Amino acid sequence: MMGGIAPGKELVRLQGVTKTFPPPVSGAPGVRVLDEVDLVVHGGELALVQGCSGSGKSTLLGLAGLLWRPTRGRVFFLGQEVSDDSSAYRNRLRRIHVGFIFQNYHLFERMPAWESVALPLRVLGFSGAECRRRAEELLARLDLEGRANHRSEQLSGGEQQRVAVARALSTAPDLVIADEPLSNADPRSAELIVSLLIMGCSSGSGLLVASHDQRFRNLAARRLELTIPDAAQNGDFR
Amino acid sequence: MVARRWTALVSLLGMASSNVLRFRLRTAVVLLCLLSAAVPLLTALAMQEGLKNHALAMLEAGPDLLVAGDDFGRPCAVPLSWAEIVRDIPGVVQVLPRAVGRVSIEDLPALLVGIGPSLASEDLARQDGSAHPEQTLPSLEPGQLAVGLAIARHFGLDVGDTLQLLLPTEGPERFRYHSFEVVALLDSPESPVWSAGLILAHFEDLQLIFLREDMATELMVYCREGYEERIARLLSERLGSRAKIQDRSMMEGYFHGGFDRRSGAFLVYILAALMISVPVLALAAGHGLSSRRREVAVMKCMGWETWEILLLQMLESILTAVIGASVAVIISLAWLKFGSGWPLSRFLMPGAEELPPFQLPYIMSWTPVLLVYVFSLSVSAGGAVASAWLAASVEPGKVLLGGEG
Amino acid sequence: MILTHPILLSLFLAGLGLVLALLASAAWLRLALRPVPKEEGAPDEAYLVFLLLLTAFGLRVLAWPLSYIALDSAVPHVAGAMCIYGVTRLVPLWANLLQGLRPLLLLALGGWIALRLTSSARERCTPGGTPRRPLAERVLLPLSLTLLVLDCLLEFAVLLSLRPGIPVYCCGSVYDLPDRFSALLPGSLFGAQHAHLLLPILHVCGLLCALVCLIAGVAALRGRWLTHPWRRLRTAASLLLLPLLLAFVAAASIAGMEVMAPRLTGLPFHHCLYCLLGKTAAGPWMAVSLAAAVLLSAWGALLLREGRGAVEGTNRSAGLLLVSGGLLVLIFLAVTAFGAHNGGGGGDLGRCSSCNARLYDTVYLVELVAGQGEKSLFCSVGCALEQIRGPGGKTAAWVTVRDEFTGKRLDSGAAFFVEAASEITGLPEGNRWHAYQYLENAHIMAFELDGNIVSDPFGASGKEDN
Repeated sequence: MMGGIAPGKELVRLQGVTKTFPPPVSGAPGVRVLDEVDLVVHGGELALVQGCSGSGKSTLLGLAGLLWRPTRGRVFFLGQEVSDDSSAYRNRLRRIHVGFIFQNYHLFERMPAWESVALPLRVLGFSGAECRRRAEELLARLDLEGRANHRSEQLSGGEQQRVAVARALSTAPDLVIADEPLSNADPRSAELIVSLLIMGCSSGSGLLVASHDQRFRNLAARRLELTIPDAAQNGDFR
Repeated sequence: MVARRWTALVSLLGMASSNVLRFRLRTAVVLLCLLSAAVPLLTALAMQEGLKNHALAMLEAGPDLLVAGDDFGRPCAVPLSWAEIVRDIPGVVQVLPRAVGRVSIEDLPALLVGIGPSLASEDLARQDGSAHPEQTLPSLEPGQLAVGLAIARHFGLDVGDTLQLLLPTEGPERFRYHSFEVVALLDSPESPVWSAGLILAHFEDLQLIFLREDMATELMVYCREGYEERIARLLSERLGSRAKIQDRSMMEGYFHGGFDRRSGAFLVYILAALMISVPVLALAAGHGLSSRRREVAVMKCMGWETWEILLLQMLESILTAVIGASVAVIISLAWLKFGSGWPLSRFLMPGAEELPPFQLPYIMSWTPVLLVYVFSLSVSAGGAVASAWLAASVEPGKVLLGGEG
Repeated sequence: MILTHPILLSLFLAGLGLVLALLASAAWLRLALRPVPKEEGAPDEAYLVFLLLLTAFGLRVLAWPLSYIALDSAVPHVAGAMCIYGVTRLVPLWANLLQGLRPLLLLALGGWIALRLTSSARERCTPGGTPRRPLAERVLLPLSLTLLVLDCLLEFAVLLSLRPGIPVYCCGSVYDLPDRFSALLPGSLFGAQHAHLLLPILHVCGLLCALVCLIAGVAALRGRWLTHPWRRLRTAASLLLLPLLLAFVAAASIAGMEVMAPRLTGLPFHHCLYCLLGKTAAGPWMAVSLAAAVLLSAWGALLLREGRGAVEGTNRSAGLLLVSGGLLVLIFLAVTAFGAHNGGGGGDLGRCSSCNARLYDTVYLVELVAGQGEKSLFCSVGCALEQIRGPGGKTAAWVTVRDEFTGKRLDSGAAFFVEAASEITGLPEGNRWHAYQYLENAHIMAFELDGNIVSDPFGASGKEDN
């Protein structure tokens, strides 16, 4: 286990964050994606982000996952403000404490499933054998025992999504950020993924999910509904 | 922690090697580029080294001094009577007259050589007890020949066959066929290269053929070790400007000059390979860059740092270079062993238009091998810089927004 | 110009290095002149500078031995040259500058890369902004870029200036003179018998270096430098190491010229480092281990000095470098000790026909061919004479000795002999004879060895002389 945060402890907090991306053409105004948003995720709970396309769900996940700095506002990670910290330090926090599940899986071409899962472990200094052992263990929990040596293109959509989930969970992160994790999963895969994520939650990990799936709605401790920033009610917590 | 850092490096190396296999097309193109430059380079260098060594060994075993005539600054034949003058100089062990002439047998050029009677001043044995290379040649009677392997193979000759040579004559017809009996093949393992296109004849036959009675092309002088300079000086005094005396260092100089001219063709090839390889490898390394950028963005989301990704990519290019150079060494060795480096050999050996009937000498010493590794590593690293940077400089967040997806 | 395959490859590497240096300079200037930090997440030129300089560093490391191979490949084309030294005489100033500059470049550039990597580790571990790296960024980086450009330009200048046909002096005319600088300096310090002291001095210097490296390295690995009483020691070790390493390099160079070169080339009066490097099997290993030991130790000392922030990672990297450097110093010492012990040429030639000692291909070897072509080998002139003069002695038809300056085989009748006042070390008792091809050398050595020029000792020993 990399993390080991006590359940209930604050993992990430966004406080009045605004994110404006530089304009695609110089001279044009910047693109404001988020405006004065607040969000907090605690260990052991599921926070759900919802909103229409273009409302800034992915940007919010990126800010919480320390991929970007906010244009305005503050970001706290494990209780410390990290808005102005160096990229390298934020990278290290992300490496140890955060796991990402992408909407389109983003598995690597021609890479065996176990190697995909072991990818985050490599930079943490695990040996090849240890990487493989952990990866196979996780794959087995996702009902992919016989698929460890299959390359990504040899797996079905649901299997690919499960491998992507296993990759995000391989370092046992404190915070799992998932962008539409069930969008392409078949019902059986979706069940497995949800149960694994929830199992992680119950062992203390925080879960920040952007999804419209009913299962997450039912399980979410917090929900954040995002709208396109120009609209007045941006960042409405329920 | 230190152990973990090493493990991380080993782990990166493992991932780099799996990436080399994963991007098969890119690896194949890069390897092909490397091999197409490195294999001929290494083969030529090994062959050049071998031939040079072989020639220098032959020179070392050959005469200490060569005495030829000097006619208006050009070499000419010497009278056989000079052999006695040379023999009487203190320190001279043996004098051997040699007649050499060029002939064409049905458009195939050949060197006709005859060794005259030895004039020994003291003892035929050399100081180290070994025999002169000339003494290992087959002894011939007039009308008999020993032919080199290349000539024998070209005309399908064997011992006992007759070879007809069209040679000049004093009569009105100017040229006449002379029949000779082949009594031996020159297949000495010490000198297969230089005897391949050679025909050894009786000295008197050569004098008759080239109409030079009591003359020799040159005198081969063997000296006691350390006396060469004194003998050369005394010879210059006694024979005056009529004689052209060459010592071993001069012969080596002529050899190096001729050899370097012949190997110049490879320099042009290597120059072209070096100029072209970096841009070609840069293009090859850029193959599949967009999918690579997406992967890098995902890796950055997982916490990989830019320098780790750069290191991974440099490891990949180093691995590819090492594989390329190692494969080049194996292919070159096979080419030299089983193909005698043909057709590259024709650039280094005059007259080697066909696959030689013997194993060409080669030396795969550490210097050419090191050169090939340096070449592979430098062009591979040079070619990978641009693609490594383009891939590593991707923003990780774009993968969330679908920009690199 | 002289164009050979290694020269062509060296020129290519210099060109590639120059392009990388110029690109890195441009990226660095852009980075330095940018008023505000870039948008986070955007590609950072600092990594581009790092990538370019890392590649350039790798290429210059490869170019170091290649330069010597390239110069060696030009030897047959330069009249009078016997080794790399002769070739460097065509462009002495540039060649010397290049040879001095290359280690400095690798020291500075490698130091910058090491600091860059460890400060990345520091950034990862430290909350807050990017830490400043004054030494790395303000001193080492511009210095490395300047040295890199100069190094590549000098390589071009040296290799493109090599012209065939210009006669030069060979190494023997400089390194074999009694007043060579490598003999004058220790001679003035330790007196006439300095040659016996050089190897022990080298080993003492080396052992001191290795000791400091290993102690400092192990302490750094164990994180001891972080606690208060050790901190001063860290500074002392890093400051002590640099002069120690300088002394070690100086001792290695002088011992290499005065002791190792004569022993390993088998030529007792030949003191050329280039011949040691290019014509002996142990030479390249000694050079590589010395260069690697000094560079790794110096980088380690630099990191130790810069690791004042007591940050995880920095001292461990320093420790690794120092321990590797210390071990390489020990390897170098082992190679020199092994080389010095087994010096005098390779190849076991059997045993001396007189004293039964094991024979090596040295300049003292004597070959005797009896009337019937029977060949005998002797370890020295004395042994050969004893065999001839002794009861039932052989009658020699030929006796071949070696010129002590070049190793060339000589008929004893063509050699000039010097009978020295003292015996030759390492040979059987009573051996005072030295053989030379040229009378001039025999005169010099008769003076040096406090001896006399004598007539061919084999001439009066039954050998039929011409």
